[in-house]
Amino acid sequence: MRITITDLEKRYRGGKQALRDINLEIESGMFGLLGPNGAGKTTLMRILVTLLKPTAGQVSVDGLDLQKYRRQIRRLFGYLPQEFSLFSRFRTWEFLDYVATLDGVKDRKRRLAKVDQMLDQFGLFAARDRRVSKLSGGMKRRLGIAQTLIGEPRIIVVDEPTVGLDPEERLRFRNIVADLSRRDIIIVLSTHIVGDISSTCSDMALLNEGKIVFNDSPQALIDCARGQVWTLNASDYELDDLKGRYPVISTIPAEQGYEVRLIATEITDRSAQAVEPNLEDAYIAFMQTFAAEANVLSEEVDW
Amino acid sequence: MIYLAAFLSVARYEAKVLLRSWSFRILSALALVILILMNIGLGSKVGRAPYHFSALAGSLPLMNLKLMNVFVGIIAVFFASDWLKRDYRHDSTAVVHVRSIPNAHYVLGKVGGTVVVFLALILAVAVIGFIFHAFLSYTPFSWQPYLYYILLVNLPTLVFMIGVTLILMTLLRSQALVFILMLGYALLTLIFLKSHLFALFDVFAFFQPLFYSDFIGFSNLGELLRVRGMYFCAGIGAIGATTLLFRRLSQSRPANILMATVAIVSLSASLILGFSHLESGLAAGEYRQTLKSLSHNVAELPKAKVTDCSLDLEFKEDHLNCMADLRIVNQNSLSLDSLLFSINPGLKVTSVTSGNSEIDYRQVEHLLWIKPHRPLLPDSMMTLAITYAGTINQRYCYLDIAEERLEKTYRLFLYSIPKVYTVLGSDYLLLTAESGFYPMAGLSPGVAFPRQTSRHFVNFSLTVPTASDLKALSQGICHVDTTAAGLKYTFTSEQPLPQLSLVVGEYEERSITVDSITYSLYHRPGHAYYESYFEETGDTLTGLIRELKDDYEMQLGLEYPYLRLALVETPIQFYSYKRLWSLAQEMVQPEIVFIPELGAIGDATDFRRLQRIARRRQERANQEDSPQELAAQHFTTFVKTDLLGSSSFRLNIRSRDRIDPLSYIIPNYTSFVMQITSDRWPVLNYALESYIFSKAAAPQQTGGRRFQGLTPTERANLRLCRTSLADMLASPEKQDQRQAILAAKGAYLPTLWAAQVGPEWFAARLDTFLETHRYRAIPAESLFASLSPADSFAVEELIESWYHDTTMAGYLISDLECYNVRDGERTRSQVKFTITNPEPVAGVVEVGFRTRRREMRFMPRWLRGDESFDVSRTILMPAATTKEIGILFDDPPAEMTLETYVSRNLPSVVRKRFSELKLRENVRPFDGEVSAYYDSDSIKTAGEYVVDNEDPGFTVVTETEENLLRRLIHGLFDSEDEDEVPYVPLRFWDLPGNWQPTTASEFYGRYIHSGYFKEAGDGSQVVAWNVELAEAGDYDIYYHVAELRMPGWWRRHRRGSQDRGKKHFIVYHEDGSDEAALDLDLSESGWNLIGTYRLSAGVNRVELTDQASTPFVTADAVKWVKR
Repeated sequence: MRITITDLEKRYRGGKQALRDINLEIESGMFGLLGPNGAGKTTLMRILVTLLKPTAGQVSVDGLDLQKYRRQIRRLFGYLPQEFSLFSRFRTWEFLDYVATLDGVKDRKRRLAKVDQMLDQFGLFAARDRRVSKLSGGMKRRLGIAQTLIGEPRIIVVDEPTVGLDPEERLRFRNIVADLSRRDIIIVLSTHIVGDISSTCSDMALLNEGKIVFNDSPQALIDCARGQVWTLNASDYELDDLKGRYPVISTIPAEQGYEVRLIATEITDRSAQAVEPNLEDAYIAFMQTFAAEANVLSEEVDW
Repeated sequence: MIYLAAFLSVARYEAKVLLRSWSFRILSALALVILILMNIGLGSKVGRAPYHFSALAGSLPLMNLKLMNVFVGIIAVFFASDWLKRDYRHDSTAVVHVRSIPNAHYVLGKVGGTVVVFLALILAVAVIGFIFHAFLSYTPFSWQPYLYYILLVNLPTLVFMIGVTLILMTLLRSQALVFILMLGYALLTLIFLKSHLFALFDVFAFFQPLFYSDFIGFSNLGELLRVRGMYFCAGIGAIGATTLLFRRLSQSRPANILMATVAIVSLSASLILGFSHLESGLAAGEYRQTLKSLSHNVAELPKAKVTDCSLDLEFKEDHLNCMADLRIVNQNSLSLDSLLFSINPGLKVTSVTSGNSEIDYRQVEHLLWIKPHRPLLPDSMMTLAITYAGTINQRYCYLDIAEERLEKTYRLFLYSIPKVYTVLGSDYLLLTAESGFYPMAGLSPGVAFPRQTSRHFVNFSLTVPTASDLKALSQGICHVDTTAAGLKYTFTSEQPLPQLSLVVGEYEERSITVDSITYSLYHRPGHAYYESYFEETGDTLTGLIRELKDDYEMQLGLEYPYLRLALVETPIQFYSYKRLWSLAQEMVQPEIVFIPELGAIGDATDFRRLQRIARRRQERANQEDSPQELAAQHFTTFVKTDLLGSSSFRLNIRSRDRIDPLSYIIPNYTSFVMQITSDRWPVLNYALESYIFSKAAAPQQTGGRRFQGLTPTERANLRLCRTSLADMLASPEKQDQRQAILAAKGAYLPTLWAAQVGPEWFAARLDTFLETHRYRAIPAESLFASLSPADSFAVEELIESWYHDTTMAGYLISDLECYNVRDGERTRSQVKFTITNPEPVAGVVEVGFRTRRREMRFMPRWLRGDESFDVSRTILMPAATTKEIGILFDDPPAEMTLETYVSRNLPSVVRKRFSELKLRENVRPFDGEVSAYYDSDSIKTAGEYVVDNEDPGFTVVTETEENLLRRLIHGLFDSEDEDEVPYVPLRFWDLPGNWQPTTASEFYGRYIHSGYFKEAGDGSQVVAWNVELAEAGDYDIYYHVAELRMPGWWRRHRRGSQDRGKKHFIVYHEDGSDEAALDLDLSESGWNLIGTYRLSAGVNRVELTDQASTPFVTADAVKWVKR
């Protein structure tokens, strides 16, 4: 399976340009779409799942154009949107039964068996007859995944899945997604939480202000940041100074002050230790560099 | 089909969502509870609702489903807009939208789910109604109305409201806006548009004429299918359009094409149906206009007279075949080259022969021109055989009735009933002369009113074959033959009749012969609802009928001319109008009186209620009537109220004023027997008929004043002050008003005439005249000759003045006293009063008394059918005359009623009750009248000034608008076309928020006894009386207290509803102003002193505020008397 996105643009009716010049190739496996809030991730996701029409450009799945072959393409997709609060008047099983019918599972017996299997798989069986509105945030999210998978889609699009989940649920969710990624399907995971991606994605893209600013493997992103991540010890007073000068990733209280992890091209005025970056460091470093370049560019243009 | 499962699933789950919504549950439960209570109250055996609410098999289901329709229509807007809002707003609907299902299936599934739930709610209502109806009510049961009403009323409304809501929601994207628009439209149709433009906008079918009759089902099914189909198609079209515009990227081109086709076809169908409905309504008017102008063109042409008419008629489905053998005579002074007949334009003449030879003829719509081989010479006769076939075009009926009146809704409680004037079907047939089912010479009467209103008296005979289970009813001796195909009925009239009718249907018959007259009752099987109340009548019925007939005829001075009288139940839709040229309306035919289905619009046909009233009365009086006595009472009440019109008893207070059809038997004594013709005064015959009717009619009722402000007579009088009767009749507008005016003024002429020549003499001569001039048209001149005692009496002048003058008599009543006197050995009661007619025209009043002895009875007068006065006098009041009247009584009088007929007086009927009478010794008894010339100067008193609310000196100081809600409510419930009347009803239960004028005889006034009233306020709303005083000095200032008499039931329910407590005045005087209070508890009716003040010459003023401790306050008149 392959999703090909070519020269994709989306401009909303108010004139806001949400996406510009998007070119992506997404292949089987897990694809992470990372970007800050408002970068255009959800717009891109909604275009992928045929909820939105692009202003220009093309998206195709295995050569089938998304606009022309909606009926076939919709059969391939499973989608878990960012918000998932409705259907509160349904019971858990009813909701799954409903979406299973829409996915074409006509035989009632088979459908109900499938519903129970999904409920079981996602630890919701005990809440089978509970109203959707009475489920916890994590359970709702699991129910969301279950409804995504019940039609056995070939492409799964998950938008900001871990927002608002407690660490335990988040871990559980990541494990579910990791399991899924072992199948021969495409999972497109859009998030602004780097941790969601680092564990499982083989490929990723960084979206900022409607543009793809990076498209490679997570490792490649980490490589970009090598040599730019430092740790050093600082007192209270120095910490404030550092925060003014560098992007600080973390501060951990130490014996005399703090152990500070920050991004810098080089540090000359004090002792600091270059460390091996992780994906989060790399993401921040990349976005910093990108922002700085953009500033320079805009200043040049202004001049 | 591959998406059918998905479609069903969407529908199923949408239905579940709706059913689980608490707002839906609460609203539905509330509606069901209200409807159950309504069913208990209005439809069940324990309910006490007026009979016409639930009399018919079609009533209860229509009530339930109609009310539910409005409710469902409105909440469907909310829920339909809600799911679309949810779909558009919530991100999570995306999990459904991304799935592979075409928009059409998805939207249709949602709509389907919603429709099913609402239909289930409607069905629940229907089932509840069904159970009440079938098992717990007295109403005859039939299941068909349930099915038809749901299909014709509920389904189209539901689909339309949902469809339009969805498309608006899709376009406007604001639930609030859509809700306001739809609710606004709903209110607009319910409150303002109502049945305008043939009920085109009536989405809820609330005003749309629609009613199921056991006889004929729906009489206007075609019209209903058109107009309800229009809403249904519009709804489907809107749903189709919504699927196309639905905000989700579409996925199926074939589905889109299909839905686009559905939308276009449905919307086009809706437009076509709407236009055709409108067009057919408008075309009916245009067509009738054509018929009218054709008629007017030939109205002056001489016509032959039909003396014999023999009809051989067959009917099948809506098709009629008939051969009419006519014998005609030329009574004109000139010979006739061509003979003009009229016949229903739907019937086409196929041949005309005379003897054995064919005759040329030409039919233009309803006009049939026959050209005999030789002109018909004066006084010669000929025979004609006219063969014709076709159907009856109902638009031909009532060409003399204005369109607005024809279109006026026939409304009974919540039901709008379509009007039919004739029924032609395979198992039911109802034809009257109005339908033109047989050829008439010239025009049918009234078509060219005021010309050619006379009718010919014809010897009819009629043959009609029917199926063996049907009965035919017509005039004359009936003979039935059995044939291979069924039955063959032959009717032969025994005397010449002005018209013929024919009814064929499934009827059950009850008959009794009393004094050689056969009285029959024909009703539909299963409609014998009256039976259980009359089981005990037994042998008493003969005596009862005889007594009623004799009493009635004695009052009329006429005898029933036929050997049969049949009461025939007709479909509820059968409607007839009061006419300007005859008292007869199509509800009554010679020998036959039509009773609307199950007596639903009757005034005393609710025998269950009559029984209840009787029981209550028995309990109160602590006596028990035997079942026989009870049955006799019910029978008498029914006959007097609904057949004779001699009782004012009404179970349905308002319906009678709004609905024309009356089943009064009177035309059998008048219209069908006598015919006074006059070109100069075309309504003379009507006047005479009204007079005869009034002889046995109940005294005018004034109860309607509580609802309408003024009685029809009073309204008529107000108009007659401005316009003469002749002008009124000539103007085509406001036919209803003309009817009321003519009714009021018609009977007045012979009354005035009789008063001038002597009532007894007049009555005796009239009776003889009518007895000797039966079954023919009589020129007015021969009537005048018979009823003028001497040459000096100028009857024509009297009629001319009655016809053309706008001046009316007015009466001032004063010095009314009632006391006991010694009359020889006896003590008798004396009533004395002075009555003055200052106007330059003569008038007549009737003063009637009810005595105390008869008032003491527990049974109300209307129930014992005894409403005539115990003592009454007709007093002729010549121009500018004052009379002192004295009347002596053996039994003390309890109440006096002064009927002023056509006069300037408001109220036109003055009632006065007398309390305990005191004996006055040495006062001479006086019985009779003393008249004197009236001198207008003699009554003026120097130094006395009166300002009444009718005078220019009276002003409402602070005017405020009535609040919007109140105006809306009044708009909804008050009748649509009431004449503009300057006085509002004195409704104690609905007090106005601002000062309003009203009339009551307790108020001060010259002719018009009126005052202002409003609900009690904080004292901020003020009225003022201003007077111009000639000289300064000390003045006593009086206020006229009107002690208003509230209806008994109101007094029982609301204590303190009298105008009692203190009245708060502000008196302006030389030194400024003072507040003054008048304690009404210490005052008497009439003038009461407010105080004495020093006033300067010029304008002086007294104000009254609305401050009161009681619910309402009145303002009447103020008097200044110089000391």
